[in-house]
Amino acid sequence: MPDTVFEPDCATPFTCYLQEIDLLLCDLPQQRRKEIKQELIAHLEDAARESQISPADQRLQQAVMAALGSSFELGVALYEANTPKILTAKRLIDITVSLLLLTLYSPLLIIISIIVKLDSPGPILFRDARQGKHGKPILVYKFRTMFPANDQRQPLRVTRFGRILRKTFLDEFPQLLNVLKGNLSLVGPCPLSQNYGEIDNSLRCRLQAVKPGFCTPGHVKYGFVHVSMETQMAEDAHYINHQSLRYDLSIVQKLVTGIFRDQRYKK
Amino acid sequence: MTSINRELLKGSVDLVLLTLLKHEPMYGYQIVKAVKEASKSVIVLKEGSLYPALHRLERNGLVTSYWQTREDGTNRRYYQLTEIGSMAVDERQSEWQRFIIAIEGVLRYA
Repeated sequence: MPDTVFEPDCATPFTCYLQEIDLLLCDLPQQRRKEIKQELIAHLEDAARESQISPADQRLQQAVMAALGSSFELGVALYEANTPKILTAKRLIDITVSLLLLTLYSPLLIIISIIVKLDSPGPILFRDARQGKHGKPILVYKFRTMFPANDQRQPLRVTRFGRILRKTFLDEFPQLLNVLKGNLSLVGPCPLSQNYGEIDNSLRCRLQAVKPGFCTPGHVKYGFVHVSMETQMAEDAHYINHQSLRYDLSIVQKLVTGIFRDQRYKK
Repeated sequence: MTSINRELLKGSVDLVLLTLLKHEPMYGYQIVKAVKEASKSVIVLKEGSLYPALHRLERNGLVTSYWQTREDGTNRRYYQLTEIGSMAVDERQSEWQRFIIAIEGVLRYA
């Protein structure tokens, strides 16, 4: 059963609010997260004492939440105020593996670059505008597989070589540059597109708590076929609620074996 | 009373917090109340920016925090200035005075 994305399980509006903030703080040490939570509970208690109502009163909780700001805004601000500039284990792995793969495959990548350039007019890389961690705009790199949008002569937009690249997933390879740069992780949720419509705070806290990934949980379940954003999100929510390095490894392992065996990965 | 423009307030939050903590260690809600009272409600700290600001000051070594049980038995996280913090307050207060004088000079000129 995938975790539901839209209905977080919480007893009162305030506990729900705290849970959402806590999700955004998932990189911080446990102790720090606990203290932040306690501090915000104390804030609610003080507000309750001042107006002489119970802290369990839902209208009071709503008022305090309104004063503190949305869970997403406050969570991101708290995250930034509490993040020491250290390398996490995950980041270290991201850097090492992406460097290793880029070096190993560099001859292939150079050859592909030359063919993309010669096969059709336009740049080698296509930069896709997406939302990164905490909604920050990022550009995701891929090999260009289509004719430039302004090229009217080509009704079939995908290039000849582009079709091969897509079939072999080699078009996705330049995302390793994003991983090296630090705006993608090797494994993480699917990055939302930049023009993805209105998104409520609770959902944002759930989906943008961590860096989006090169390999996503959706890839494991559905392969590279196109699925709706909602279906994708359910997998991502499960990933975020249960993330660990072991989970990351299992995703990579399933993807690597899946690509060679499984029909779902045929585009 | 009309409140102050948010952008104007932004640059002075640290100064307000450090100055308050110069007198005694305080916890979050207490700070909100104290600022409101001392500024006769002209400055209403956006509560959402209070905790990130305090945590940033803590990360930068200007304040430290500790948990203490109040008389009513509930725990509060108190913030107090560090040695660097107390030096920084004096520095920032005099900087602020220079700023005010300069702004007043400009306003008079206009």
